[in-house]
Amino acid sequence: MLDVDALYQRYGPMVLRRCRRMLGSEDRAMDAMQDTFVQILRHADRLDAEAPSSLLWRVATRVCLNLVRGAKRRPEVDDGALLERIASLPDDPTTRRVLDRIFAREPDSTRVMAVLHYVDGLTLEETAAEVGLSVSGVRKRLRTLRERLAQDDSEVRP
Amino acid sequence: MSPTHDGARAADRGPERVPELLVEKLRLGELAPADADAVRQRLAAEPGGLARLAALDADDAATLARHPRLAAARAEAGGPPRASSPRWLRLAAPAVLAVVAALLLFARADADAPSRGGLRPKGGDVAPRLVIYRQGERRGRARRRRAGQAGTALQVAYIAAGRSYGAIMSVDGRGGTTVHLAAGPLEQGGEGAAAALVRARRRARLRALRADDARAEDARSRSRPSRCGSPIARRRDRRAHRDRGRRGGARGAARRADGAGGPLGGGGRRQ
Repeated sequence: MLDVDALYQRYGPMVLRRCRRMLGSEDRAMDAMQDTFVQILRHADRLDAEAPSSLLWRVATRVCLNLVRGAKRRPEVDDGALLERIASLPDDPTTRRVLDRIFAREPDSTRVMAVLHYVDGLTLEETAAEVGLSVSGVRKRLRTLRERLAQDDSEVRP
Repeated sequence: MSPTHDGARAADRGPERVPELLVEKLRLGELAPADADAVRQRLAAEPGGLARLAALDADDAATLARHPRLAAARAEAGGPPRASSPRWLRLAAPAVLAVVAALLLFARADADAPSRGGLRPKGGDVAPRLVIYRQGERRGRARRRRAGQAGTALQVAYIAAGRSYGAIMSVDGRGGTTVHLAAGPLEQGGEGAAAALVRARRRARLRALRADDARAEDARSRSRPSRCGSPIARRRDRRAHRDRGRRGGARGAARRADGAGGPLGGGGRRQ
């Protein structure tokens, strides 16, 4: 049986840091951390298949992205540190558009990949290792994302 | 060494900040040896890189000091209720049924039972167990979802399986305990607490109880004290019922144990 207390003692602070950095608010980070562990309980069998830190990091990222996406639909809600970090990224219009599209239309797995690569700074290989895909698979997914962006741009600017 | 975004090797990258995930994995010992060495080298080359490790150690200690346990952490944060669905969960003991979180049967073998002369009973050893019926059902067992609805009349049966003494109690969604079958106060423990069981292989049914609503989103609890069991059980139920009314506002949550409602204390207020 999963020892939740032991799991929290070992990985809880890491998950909280992750959530705090993405969301900015301590209270929202606590919520997200709790939600992350709830998700882990549902898929406890996956803990044996990969390093727990990778799974927890990925789940925490997805939980936070969902919260941010939800916040974007309610403009009166503070959308947290993640969007601030995006805004403070080096002047790279492609990156900004990529990330904006992430919140709007992309599936969870692509969003997590894009955050790991574009925001966290992991290489393609490191990102692939974290999400359990091949490097070519990650590259293809991110390339498709950029192509969709290019299409969006051409529609906006005929 | 890992290739970068454009395929260049990591060693060719400038002194970029080592990704946080890699630093975390290094601290947790979850990097392959070669990767761990590479990350250490990068941290050493990064301005203030090695200090990041010490900072993470300090942050770990501070977090665990403020929030030593997962469920308690949320209660201490004391934030306002979330707009999203509240899914507080006491992770130590996930419950199954919405209202009757656990029906526990404690039974012990009769130490003074006559020797069977080394012979095993026909059919082999049967473990004592509980069976839950919805009122009116003759066959089958109450489906968990329907059994958990407030107001559902349930009947509990037990199979003593040859055991002589036992006690039956339930734990509801708010952690309240009700004794349904016992000869005396369970605080006494030991043999005095166990009731004599009907030592039949067929099921012996207790009187019915009605599932209450463990959710208390307003101050009015709709729970009803158990009407079965010993006078001690009924007295405890009345006390628990009175206490629930006093506390009010506790979000007990009769939902799935997967976290969608937290049957063991919702809202982070009952920790």
